[in-house]
Amino acid sequence: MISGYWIELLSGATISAMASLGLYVQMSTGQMNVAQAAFLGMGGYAAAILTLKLGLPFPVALVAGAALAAVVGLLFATVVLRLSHWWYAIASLAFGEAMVSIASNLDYTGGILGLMGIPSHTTFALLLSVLILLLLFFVGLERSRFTLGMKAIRADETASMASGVNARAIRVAAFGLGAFIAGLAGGLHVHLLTVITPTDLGFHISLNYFVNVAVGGTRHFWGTLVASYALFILPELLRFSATDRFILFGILLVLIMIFLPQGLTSRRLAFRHRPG
Amino acid sequence: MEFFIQQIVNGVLLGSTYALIALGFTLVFGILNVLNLAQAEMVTWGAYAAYFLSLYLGFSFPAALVGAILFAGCLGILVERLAIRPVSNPFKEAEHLSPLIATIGVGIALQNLAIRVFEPKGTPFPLAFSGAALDLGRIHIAGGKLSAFAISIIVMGLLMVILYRTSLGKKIRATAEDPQAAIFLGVNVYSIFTIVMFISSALGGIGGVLTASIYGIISPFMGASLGLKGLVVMIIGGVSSLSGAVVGGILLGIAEALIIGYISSAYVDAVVFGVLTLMLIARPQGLLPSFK
Repeated sequence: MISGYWIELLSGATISAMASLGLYVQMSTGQMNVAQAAFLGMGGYAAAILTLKLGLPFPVALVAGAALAAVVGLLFATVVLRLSHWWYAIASLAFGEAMVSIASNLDYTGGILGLMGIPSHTTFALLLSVLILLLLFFVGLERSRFTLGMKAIRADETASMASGVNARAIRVAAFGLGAFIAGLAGGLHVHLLTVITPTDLGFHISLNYFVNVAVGGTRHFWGTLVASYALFILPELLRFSATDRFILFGILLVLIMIFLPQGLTSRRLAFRHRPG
Repeated sequence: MEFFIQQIVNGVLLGSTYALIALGFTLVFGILNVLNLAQAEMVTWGAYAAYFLSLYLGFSFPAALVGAILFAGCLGILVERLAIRPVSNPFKEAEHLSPLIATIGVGIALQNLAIRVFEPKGTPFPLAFSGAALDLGRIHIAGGKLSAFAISIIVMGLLMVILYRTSLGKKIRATAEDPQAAIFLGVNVYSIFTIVMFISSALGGIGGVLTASIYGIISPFMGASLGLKGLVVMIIGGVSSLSGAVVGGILLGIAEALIIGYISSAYVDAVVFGVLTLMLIARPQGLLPSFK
């Protein structure tokens, strides 16, 4: 039997995997979103307010939270559409930090203390079912024209547009989809932890998901899935104090980047390339 | 009106430290083509270096500041050698994520090392400024902030002299312009990268020491929040503009001081990051032209 400790660990890892898969869709189209935690937080806060304060059924709250994140995501992506990589990342960083600040100041999000006593509805079985559904959706998506368009944009945006791919629409849709998945993961997360605070929306949390996708590589979503679980569980397996674990985790991240610069799904193990 | 001017003065004084940290980001981005997120930890480690030099070796403020500069600078060189150089290709436009992720890894490791080694709740800083306050009519300027501002200005002046009046500066600017061409002209670009990492990290370290001296407290988390502000400033100024980083720092300081003065300190981040998002959309190239 799996012990309670492992259930807790795997639940956290599953939520991290969902959030990272959502980010994978966005980053596959070159959208460097470093505010994924803010989209999780939006879904989480919305769902929590609906179940905690309005007493709505859990599934309704989950979908509503995800829908809110998706709508905000679509708006955000439309507004920052013409920014490219670095700029995009910084715009999302600013957006995410603004969300943290807003959540800390609103009354109905509970201010700096956040929300407590959220009903505990999320079970490990539910998380696994949602993840499996999500993966089935991704497998189906792989064969769609949408994915073909995404790959074309990633390979060469200008050429893809010249070939009739509507790059803008695909990027915005990809962002909305990623934000929806994040909102869903956020709703599940708050009903697992039963608490949410504004700092859960911050840049330092978003970085975890960003790292998962970067380590997994944007060539295939399996890389993100494996990286999310590995990078969530690995620090736990390195059984030292919490800070020691993160010291090693940081070093490990550097080593992964040295030997696998394109992520886990890169075609071959890279060796040090020193140009010039 | 006095209140308004007072807030502007506070903002300018506060902003000069942001500018120092941002200059470190700007230099590394402009020359190594890497967004170096480990810069934030140079702020923390620089401040702790000064703390230990003062506590155990009895260093005075200037000596401790020099010690912090050397310590943060050498730490920066190590970061460049161990984490940036093996994963990056400075001859291409930055497109890969690996150098960014590697510096994130270094940042996580250094921050947690600081949490482990030092008191996570923060420690009083022994070298806090205690200069006499300056009163100009009704405008009041705290002595500490004024000293920190003066030091920032001196450091920025020195940086400009190095970059624009020395042969080293010429080599650095040539490398920023085109590293390949710089090699053909006989510049050892890898030693330039080392020097630039030293300077940038030292700027972060100075920012840390000055902030610690103003507030009289240091903690392992100080770098994370100041680093984020430095990053914002770098963007406001235009990623590779030195004067932009300085102007951006001062503007951010003034904006924060005005929001604290007229609205509420709780809304500082919301307004700052909201304005940043709008600015990126309206003027993504930043306020001022690149130094390249």
